[in-house]
Amino acid sequence: MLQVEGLTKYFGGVAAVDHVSFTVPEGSIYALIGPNGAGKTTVFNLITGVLPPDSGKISLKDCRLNGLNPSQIAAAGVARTFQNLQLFGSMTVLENVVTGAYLRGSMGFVRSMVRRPGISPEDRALMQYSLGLLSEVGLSDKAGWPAGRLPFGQQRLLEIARALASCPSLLLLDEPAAGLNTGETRELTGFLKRLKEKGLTIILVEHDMDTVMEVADSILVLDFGRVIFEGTPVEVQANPEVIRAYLGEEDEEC
Amino acid sequence: MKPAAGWEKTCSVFIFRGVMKDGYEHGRQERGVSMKGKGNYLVIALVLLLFVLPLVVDSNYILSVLIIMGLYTIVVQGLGILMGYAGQVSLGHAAFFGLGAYSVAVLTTRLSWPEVFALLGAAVVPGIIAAVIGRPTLKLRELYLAMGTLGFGLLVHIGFNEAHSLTGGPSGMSGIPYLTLGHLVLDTDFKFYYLVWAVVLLVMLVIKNLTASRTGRALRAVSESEYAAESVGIDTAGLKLKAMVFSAVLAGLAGGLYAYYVTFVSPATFGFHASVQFVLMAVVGGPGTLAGPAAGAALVVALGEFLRWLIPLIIPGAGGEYEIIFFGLILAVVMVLCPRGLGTISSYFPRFSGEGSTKPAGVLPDIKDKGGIP
Repeated sequence: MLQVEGLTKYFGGVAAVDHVSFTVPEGSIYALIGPNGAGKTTVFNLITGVLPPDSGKISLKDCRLNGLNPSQIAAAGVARTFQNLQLFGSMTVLENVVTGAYLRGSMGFVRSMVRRPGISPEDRALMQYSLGLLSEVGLSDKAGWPAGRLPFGQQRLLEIARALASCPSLLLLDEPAAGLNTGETRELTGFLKRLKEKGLTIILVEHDMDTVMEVADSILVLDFGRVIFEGTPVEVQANPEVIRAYLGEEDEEC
Repeated sequence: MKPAAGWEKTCSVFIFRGVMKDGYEHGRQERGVSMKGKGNYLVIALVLLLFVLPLVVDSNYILSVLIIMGLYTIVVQGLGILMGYAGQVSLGHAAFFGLGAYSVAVLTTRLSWPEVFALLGAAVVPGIIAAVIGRPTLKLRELYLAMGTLGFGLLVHIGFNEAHSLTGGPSGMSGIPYLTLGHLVLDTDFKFYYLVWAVVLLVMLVIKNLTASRTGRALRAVSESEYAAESVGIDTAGLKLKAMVFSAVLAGLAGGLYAYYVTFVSPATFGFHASVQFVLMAVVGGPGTLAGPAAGAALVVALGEFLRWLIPLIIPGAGGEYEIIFFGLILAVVMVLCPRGLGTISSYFPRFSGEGSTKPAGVLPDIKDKGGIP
C-alpha cells in the first residue's frame, strides 16, 4: 500500500528523520512508536506533504507522493488527523465532517454562486453521508454543536470522522488516544478495529502502549530519527533495543 | 485520483433531517447570520422599504446618499468574502474600485464601447489584475499581506495620477455617458437607485449561495486552519486567489457603476483613504455575515454625511478635522458595544435569533472552551 524508502529530513544540521524505510501492507494497522522527538510526527508531515523530504521516496500503490502538495496528496487518498487538534472550531460538528468530504463534492466557485438558493442536492447528500459517519463515531446527537465546544475526547473523534469523510484509502492518525480517558480509549480501539475490518489501511503514531499493542499488526520503532526495530507487538515487547530506547540503559544492580 | 475504498460502502447512512437542519441553522446562528423565523420578515420588510423609499422620498440628496451606500455595499460584500470567509485582508480595494471606474471611463470616452460592454470591462479588468497580483501577494500573511495590498493600492493610485494620456492625470476624466440598458437611459438618481440596489440584492443572493455551499465551507476552513483545509484536499492557494479575484470583480463592478453615476472620475476618490474606508465598513459591519457589509456601508456613509451637517451647527467654523474626530469616536463606541460587527447585532436580541432551535451550548456542563468561538 504505502512504500517509504530512505526517507530523510534535516532540521538545520540535525537529522530528524534519517533514512527511514518501511512498507505498510494494505488493510493493516501499522504503528510508529518511539520516545519524544524520535521523528514520528515528522514522518507524517513528510508523507502528507506538509514538509518536503530532503531525500527518499514515498509512494502510495503506484502513485509517487513526494513532490505533490498536501491537497494533491489528500486527493490521492491519504487522510490524516493532527496531534494538536486542527478542527474548524466555529463550524458545527456536521459542517466539519461535510468539509472533510470536500473531495467527494464537485461544486466549484462559480457553480456554488449560480444555483437555486437553499441547500444544494449535492450538499444534502453529503450531509446525510456525514451524519452516517458521525453516528459511527457516536457524535450524531451533537451534529449541531459548534465543534470548538465539544469535550476534548470528542474533538479527537470528530477529527477522525472528518478525515474519514473523504473516503481515504490510507488514514494517518497522530496520537488519537492522547487526552482520552480509559472508556474513550476502549471505544477508539474498537472503532479502529472496525475500520480495519472494512479494509482501511491505518498508520498510527501513539504513545499509549496498551492501544498500540492491541490494535497494531506491526510496529516500527524510531529513535533519534532512525529505525531501531520493526516487528509484531510481541516481538517489539521482547526486544532489548526497544526497551533500552524507552527505559534507558539497564543499570547494574542497584 | 479518487480511490474507491471498500469500507465506505458499508458506512450506514442515517437520515435525520431534523438534526441536519438544526446543525446547519445552529452554525449559522453562532455566526449571527440566521435568517430564520422573524429574521425572514425583517428581510422582506427591508427589501420593501428599499423599494418604496424613492417613491416617497423626494430628495435627490438622500437618493444620492443611498446610491453611494449601495455601491459601497457591493465592494464590501466582496471584501467580506475575502476577509470574513477566506481570512485574508486587503488594504488595496480602492484600487480595484478605481480600476473599474477608469475602465468604464476609458472604454466609453476613448474607445467608444457600448455602455454595457464597458461595464463588463469594469468587472473583468480588475479581476484579471487581481489574478496576476494575487499569486505572489497571497503568499504573504496577515500584516505582510496588508502591506502588500497597501503597496498595490498606492501604485495603482499613482498610476491614475501619472498616466496622463490615458487617465487625464489628477484632473480626471469627464464626459462619461449615462448607462443605457436597451431603451432605458439611466440619467436620473431615481432610475439609478433601482439599478444599484437591484445589483446589491443580486450580489447578496449570489453570496448567500456561495457561503452556504461547498466553496463557502472551504473558504471558512482556510481561515480556520490552513493545515486542516489542505489535509481534506482543499487547494488553499487556489481558493484564496479565487476569493481575491471575486472580490476584485465586485469592487470593479461597483466602480464601473460609480463612473456611470457621477459621469466623472478622478484619482482622489480611489486613494488609500477609500481602501481604509472599505475595510472599516467590513469590520464595523461584521465580516463573515451577509447583512454586515450593507450595515457597515450604511453606517459609515450615513455617519459621514450626518457629521458633515451637524458639526458646523455645533461648532461654528469647524473644519473637516472635527468630523474625523467624532467619526472615529462613534465608530470606536460601535466596535466596543458590538465587537463582532453590526451584522451580528440580531444575536444580541434573543427575540430575533430564532428561538425555535435548541441551544446546546447553554446546557453544557464542565466544558473547556477550546477557543473556537469568542
